[in-house]
Amino acid sequence: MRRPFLPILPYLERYPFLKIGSKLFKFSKDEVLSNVEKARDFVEKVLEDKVEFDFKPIDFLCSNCGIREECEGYEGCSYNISSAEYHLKLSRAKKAVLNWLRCKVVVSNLDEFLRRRFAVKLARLYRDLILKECDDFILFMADDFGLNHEGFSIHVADYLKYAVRMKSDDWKLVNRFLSKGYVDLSRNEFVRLMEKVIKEILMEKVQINLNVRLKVDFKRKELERLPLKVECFPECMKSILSDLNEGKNVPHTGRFAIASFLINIGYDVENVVDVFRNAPDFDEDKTRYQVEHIAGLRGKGERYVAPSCETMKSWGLCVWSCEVDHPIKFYRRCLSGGDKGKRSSKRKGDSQDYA
Amino acid sequence: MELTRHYLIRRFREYYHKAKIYEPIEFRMREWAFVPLKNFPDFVMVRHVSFSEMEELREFLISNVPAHVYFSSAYYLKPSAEMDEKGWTGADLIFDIDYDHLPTKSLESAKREVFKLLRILEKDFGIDEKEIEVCFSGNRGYHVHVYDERFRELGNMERREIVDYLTLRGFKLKGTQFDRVCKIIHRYVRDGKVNVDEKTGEILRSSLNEIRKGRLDLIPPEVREELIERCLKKLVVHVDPPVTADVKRLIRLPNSLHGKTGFRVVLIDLNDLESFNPYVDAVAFGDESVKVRLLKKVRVNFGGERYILERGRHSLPEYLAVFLMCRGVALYGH
Repeated sequence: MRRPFLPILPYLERYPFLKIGSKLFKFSKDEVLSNVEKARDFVEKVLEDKVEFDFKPIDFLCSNCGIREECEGYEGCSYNISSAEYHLKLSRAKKAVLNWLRCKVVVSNLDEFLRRRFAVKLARLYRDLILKECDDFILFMADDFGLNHEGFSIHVADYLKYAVRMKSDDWKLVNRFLSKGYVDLSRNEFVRLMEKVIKEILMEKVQINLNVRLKVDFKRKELERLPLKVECFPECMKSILSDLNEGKNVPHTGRFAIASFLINIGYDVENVVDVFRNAPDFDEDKTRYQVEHIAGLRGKGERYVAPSCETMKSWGLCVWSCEVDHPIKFYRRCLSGGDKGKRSSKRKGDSQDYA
Repeated sequence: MELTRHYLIRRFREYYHKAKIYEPIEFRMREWAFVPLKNFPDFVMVRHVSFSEMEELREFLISNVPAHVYFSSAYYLKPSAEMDEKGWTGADLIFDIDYDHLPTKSLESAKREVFKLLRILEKDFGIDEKEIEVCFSGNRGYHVHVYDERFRELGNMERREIVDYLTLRGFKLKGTQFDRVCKIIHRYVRDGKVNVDEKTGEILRSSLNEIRKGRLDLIPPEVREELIERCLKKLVVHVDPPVTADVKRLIRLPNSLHGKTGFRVVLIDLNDLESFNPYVDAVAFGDESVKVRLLKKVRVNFGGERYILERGRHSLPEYLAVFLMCRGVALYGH
């Protein structure tokens, strides 16, 4: 007796966003929109950190299956299980996928900030859950996501796509083992990367309009809303600003640095454009266009991150030794701890490191 | 200048009549850019051009005779649209090795960098050599094109990581590159190429295997720092970072002419790379005598042959005459 997709069903119940779910179950738009309140509650709970998964680890059926020889894959699975039991599993998986689609509609109708927050939080929860699963399933999941991998080694192109935004030096490609196109990862790291993939999947939008009203008003205490205090700017940024004010010709890299820095700490496009007004070659339209790009209002829609201290050094724009690794960090530290950031800083040249 | 311009247009046009014009894959999805010779010596770029047939491109080259021809590394849905509306779908991975950025400024050392790059692309990045093309840029270096589809969709941050891998920026003594460092240091120690006293040398030699496995802490700190520094200098591949990071770069068309030298942008078979000599293999013009006037005294090193030419009238072999005219130091005719 064929039991299509049997090994996957219990997993769809906990990971309803697996691509295979949409292959297996189809729903009409009305079905999806019929009952979104529960989904909205779930989304809200995720945003409030009130969701906890209590799934127990399960065995991946295929790992211990006795009839592997005649196996026709998940689709043609013929594992011996009663019809009632199979249909129970099927209906549970179906319900989970439907609920997931409803969540997706809800999330698609939230603004970018909440969508991202939802995706980040939920993906983080999934990471802990996946870590408890068996290797076979983890690798199945990677296949489902279309990742190019060999065991826990992942193709460098896929690696870069997800690892590029991880802050730690450990994730920089130059510090990894890379051979024949594949980056070696530990099981933990592999799952960490899957978390990023899941985040992307959770962020995906569907084009169904729905008026979503959340009960809770979520405060946005993100770093983009830092108070503006020029005294707290690091010296490199101050120096670029003063050059611009004096009408000196600042190199392209310097212009990018100051624009992205200001955008990152919460200046809006108009304020940033004004900063460039004294530049000798000021062209308002061009400047606005570029600043909008940096702010993520154009192009791929991603806001640029201000260059790190290392990059500033390599561009020859670092003028001080601040003992931070990012101009934004310096700014935040100064805002929160008064002059703390400044006191430990030294004028470049005073320090032996810069001989 | 009028005569010079006409002469160059005539000679470049003849070249494009006969030349085998290179057809990039996904030809129709590329943006093209040209710097027409009619504005010579001014550099005026015409871009956002696209073609649907190779024949159109040839006709364009013959009727507009460009000093420089570029195509986009990127693939666009609408290559001739404005930048924002082009519809970027991917880009080849490209590398520019220019001897201006090298510690030793010569084409030969640029070639050594190309070999270093190819080795890493194949060994570490698993790129098949069939997916790689190397070109002499027509001036000061080489371009390396990677057509491997798996890398096409990488954004600029991802490509920047590849550059960092090659230039060892942000390197924290871990991973495959670190393994290379250990291998080299192991060799230095084994061959006694380390500047230490005899006793330390003895101790180091007794821990060769550990050093190979990454135990660099066994080496006294000052010596270690210096050794690592030496290794890094050896391992760094000097690619020009912005070229690789840019996902919308315009790059010279193989087999076109470089308008600042008159050299051909030569697509080099990897087997011939070692013996490639631009002064032989990239020369696009013959050696019949051409009359020119030099605007100043010039010294040129043309493929091992040194010319010191006084200001004034000369009859020079065509390839050299074209080279000097392209450089802007000679005018056509006496």
